[in-house]
Amino acid sequence: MPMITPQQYEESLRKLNLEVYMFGKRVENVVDDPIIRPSMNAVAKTYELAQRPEYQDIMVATSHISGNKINRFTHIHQSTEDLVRKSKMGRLLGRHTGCCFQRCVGMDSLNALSIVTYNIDAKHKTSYHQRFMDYLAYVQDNDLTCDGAMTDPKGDRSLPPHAQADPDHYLHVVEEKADGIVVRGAKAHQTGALNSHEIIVMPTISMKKEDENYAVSFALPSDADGILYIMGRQSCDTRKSEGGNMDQGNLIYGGHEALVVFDNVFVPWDRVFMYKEYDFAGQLVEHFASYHRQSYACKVGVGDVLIGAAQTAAEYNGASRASHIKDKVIEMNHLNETLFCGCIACASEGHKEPSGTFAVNALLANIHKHNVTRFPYEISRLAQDIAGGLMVTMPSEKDLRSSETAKWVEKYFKTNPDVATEDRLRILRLIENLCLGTAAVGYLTESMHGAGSPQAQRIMISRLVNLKEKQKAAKMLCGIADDS
Amino acid sequence: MSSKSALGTRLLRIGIKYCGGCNPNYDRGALVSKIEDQLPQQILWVSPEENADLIIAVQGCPTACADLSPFDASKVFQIKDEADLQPLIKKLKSAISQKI
Repeated sequence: MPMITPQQYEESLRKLNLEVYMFGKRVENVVDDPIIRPSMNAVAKTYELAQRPEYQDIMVATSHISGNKINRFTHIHQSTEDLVRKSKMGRLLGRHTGCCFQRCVGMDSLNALSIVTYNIDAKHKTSYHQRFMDYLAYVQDNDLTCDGAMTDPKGDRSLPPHAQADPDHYLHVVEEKADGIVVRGAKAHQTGALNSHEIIVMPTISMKKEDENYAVSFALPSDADGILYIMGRQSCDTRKSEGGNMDQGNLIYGGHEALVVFDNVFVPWDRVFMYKEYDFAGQLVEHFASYHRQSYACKVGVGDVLIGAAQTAAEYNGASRASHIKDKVIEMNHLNETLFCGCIACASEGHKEPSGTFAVNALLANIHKHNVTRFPYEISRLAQDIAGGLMVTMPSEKDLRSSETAKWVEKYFKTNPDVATEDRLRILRLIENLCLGTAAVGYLTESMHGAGSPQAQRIMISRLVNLKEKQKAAKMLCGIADDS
Repeated sequence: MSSKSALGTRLLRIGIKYCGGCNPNYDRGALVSKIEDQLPQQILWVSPEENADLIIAVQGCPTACADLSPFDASKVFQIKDEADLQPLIKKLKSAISQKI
């Protein structure tokens, strides 16, 4: 069963016994909850497209373990072509869903661990890599969705993990047993956690000897004893439970984040991939971060949707021939395709690690993600400029349907006689969704902070560029003797 | 699409290999439907891995990144744009007449 259908995926989620809380209450039926359901639909899309011949060249890979055809989200990159296809997969799914489809973080965790477990073994004569490969085979054979859990709550940012007033502000080992370890702590901002079969935990920062109890990586079933989830709110989230089919903007898909609490959770040894090797915590963070910064290729696909929506709104408004509107659409495309350049470049310039896994070019991945912290905001600003203020002042769907108000809404929001008023309102709701509503969580704030905030990329850029070589080139051209 | 039938061996057996479709310049599925519309009862869609007489590589853009390595290059016809459709139809008609 190397690849499952979206229906099988949904059924597999129904078998999980997740402890989920939202609005202060336990969620009994996670899969069918109207606020959570769109995010499940988005993950299901990763399964659906892998079944369809017209997308398989991107969505399907060949396992280097079994030789089976597998979903690319469970694949370990074996070439730069694999990395390029991963970037294209992000755009493809972003365009099809108009939101975060949540499955890249698990793929990035698997690839980072495939490199780092090998490197830990090489230095410390441990056996993590084989353990990891056994786990990877299980993930591939069952086509699982994994949550990659890196970000700790972090408490006081000026203090390292061991010095925090509350030791649980970073996830850590609290007990070692003959058959495994017990961990306590939490992971914040966990995208797609409720739609995942597995949680892969990694440390969140570089560590020193004093932090060795925090240098831990492992994987567990998402419904393991002691794990609980508290759903994050999103702007306009309750529109999904109002019963209409317009005001939520995106009728089918969405994303979610949750706080995941590990309340004294047991991890068997065969699921532990790092245990107190603090000297590799930073390496794992950096490999994961580089892969995940590449993964923001998805924003290009979401940008495609927003550009398409803005152009449609302009046409509905009768403004699409105005030169300034055309120029704004050109600018949106320029920014969006510049993002595409970055995610393709860091993949094309990838390299092979000692484990055999191909890693992205870390400098270019950071450059790409840094652009992602900026460009979607400008694309969003231009989309709102083109859409006009009605995007945030128009009446609700219920007013469009009401016998008392429908005629006024129809009359006064009509533009072109050939355009249904409802269609005009629908496209504006989609733009609102992407710029201000539930999807703005993914398209804007996640673009800012996901896979590391802007300053994290700037630190990496300063570390990775070779300024001395640039100086040497400049000095040579103007006749300065190189004294370096 | 045409289903396999007793006449299958007399029809031109065509395998479709799509690129991944990340940013296509045209509707690839609609274009494939047009091929069938223009060659009714003359072609049989088969899996590209099966014993196809030829492969049509449906590439969404000029990058043409579909992995064609498993196929005999002499049997592969490429489409990278909607304008490639009519020249392809001509080639297919020629291949059909040769098969008959």
